[in-house]
Amino acid sequence: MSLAEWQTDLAELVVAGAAGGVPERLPSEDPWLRDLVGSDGLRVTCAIQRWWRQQRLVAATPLTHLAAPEPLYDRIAARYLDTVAAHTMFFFVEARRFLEFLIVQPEIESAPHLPALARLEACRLRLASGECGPFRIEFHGDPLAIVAAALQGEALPPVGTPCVVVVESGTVGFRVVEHPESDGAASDQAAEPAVDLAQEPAARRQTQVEVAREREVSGVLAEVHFESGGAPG
Amino acid sequence: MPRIALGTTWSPLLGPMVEQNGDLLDFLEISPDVLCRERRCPLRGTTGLVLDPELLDRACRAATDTEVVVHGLGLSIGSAAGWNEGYLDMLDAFAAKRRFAWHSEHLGYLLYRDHDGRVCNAGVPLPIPCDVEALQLIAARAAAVVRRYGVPFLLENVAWYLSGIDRLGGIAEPEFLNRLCHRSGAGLLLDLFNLHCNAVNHGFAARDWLDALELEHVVEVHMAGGPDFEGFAVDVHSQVSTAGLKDLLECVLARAPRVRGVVFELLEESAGLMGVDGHRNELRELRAMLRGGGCRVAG
Repeated sequence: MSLAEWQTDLAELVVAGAAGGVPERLPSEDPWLRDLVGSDGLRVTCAIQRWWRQQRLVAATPLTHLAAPEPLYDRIAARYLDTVAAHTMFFFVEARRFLEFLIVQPEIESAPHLPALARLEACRLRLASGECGPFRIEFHGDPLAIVAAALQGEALPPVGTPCVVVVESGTVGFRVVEHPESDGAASDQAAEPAVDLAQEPAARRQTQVEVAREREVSGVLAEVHFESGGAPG
Repeated sequence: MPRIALGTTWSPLLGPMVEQNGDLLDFLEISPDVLCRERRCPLRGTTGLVLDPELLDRACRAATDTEVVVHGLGLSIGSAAGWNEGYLDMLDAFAAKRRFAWHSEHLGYLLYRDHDGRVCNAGVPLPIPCDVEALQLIAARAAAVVRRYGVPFLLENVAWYLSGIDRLGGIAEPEFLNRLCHRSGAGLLLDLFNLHCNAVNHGFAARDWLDALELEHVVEVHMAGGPDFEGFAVDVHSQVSTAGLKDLLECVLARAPRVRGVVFELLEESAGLMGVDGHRNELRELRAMLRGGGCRVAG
């Protein structure tokens, strides 16, 4: 058995074991590998792999983690780790994949604002990964109040008026572009061109109140560390 | 004998704590992995690593008045399926921005090809068998890294939990490390906590293992502590080192003539639990053990 084949078999044992299963093809040639199945050492190796992945998810999705009721986040994270194989040691890719998974889980509809916050966090990760945006996310209520409550670990505000925000490259926060009830715009329309409000004269784009609000949101989001990286050792 | 410098792990989240204890430190150990992001190149169908300018800037600012060594996580130097070329490209970019006294990597593998031929990531560094094929593969790569950066390249002994892997390849682990250093020109990062975990988990004496290792290859030593998990000592570097591990360090320092740095390695998630004072106390204790102290790693 070559080193490459041996490594494949061992890695697949660990990856499958970390997800609570066994690989589709059990190692057939190497008796040591065959004996590993069910061993304490393999179990600990798998637990460590799973723990690292879980830590990366929490570290890279702080907004969603803070906003979600703990059992809900943990339950969905566990399901994700059970069903989606590790492809990377890096936070952003794993976190994006997790958020995409979380957003389509039926039970998050029971947590108001969580889908919007998860989408917001996913969009920030997409921008950080080099995508251009801008991205639009529909909130049902005041986005600043919702984000601030999530970050402070407070109860999220009740569902309110729909409101579309845009996240775009070059800014830390997001901006509120429209209130559907006032201008009739649908949330899935193309976003306005990205504008860095820090560089834009207030009178040209927004009222002073709106600019202050933008800066406040940027300040709130700046509190969130969108860190990257791999597992230390 | 050269003096030995004291360092600790730096990361964006550990930064404030490290800064507060900076008066006890001679150098910082930085993993560029925590300063970069993966980016997919749709045209080439490949994934590359890109340093985040803001995080890189923070790291450089933290190390303005101190030296830096690099401790890598993602090279996957032991992968028979191919190591991580993108990691080396990223390290080139880091080297262009910030000089480092040496560079180290874990002796293991992350990348493998699945049965459909796709390159996958195991999600945790896995150990390699100590056999001739692995020795030839890693020695050639380590020699290439030594040439590429012109500074010492160190390989770190890893913790492993899979019973019997140390007997698979026919070469004992210390002997494997000795041969690797001779063939490649690389040095060793001796992680004493990893050694401790292996000794406890697999029932051998750490000092016997050290007796079989040619300690003149050791350039850096890692010190750390961590919890037990389901009856295993695990290499989660989240606590201060024990008195027993410090005894082991003393034993190594007395016999390893080329050690240039000792690093208190810490997982960033543990910063809150350890606190600035806990970190400081550990640095003080380690500093008191080092020859001279207060020196430069660059020698």
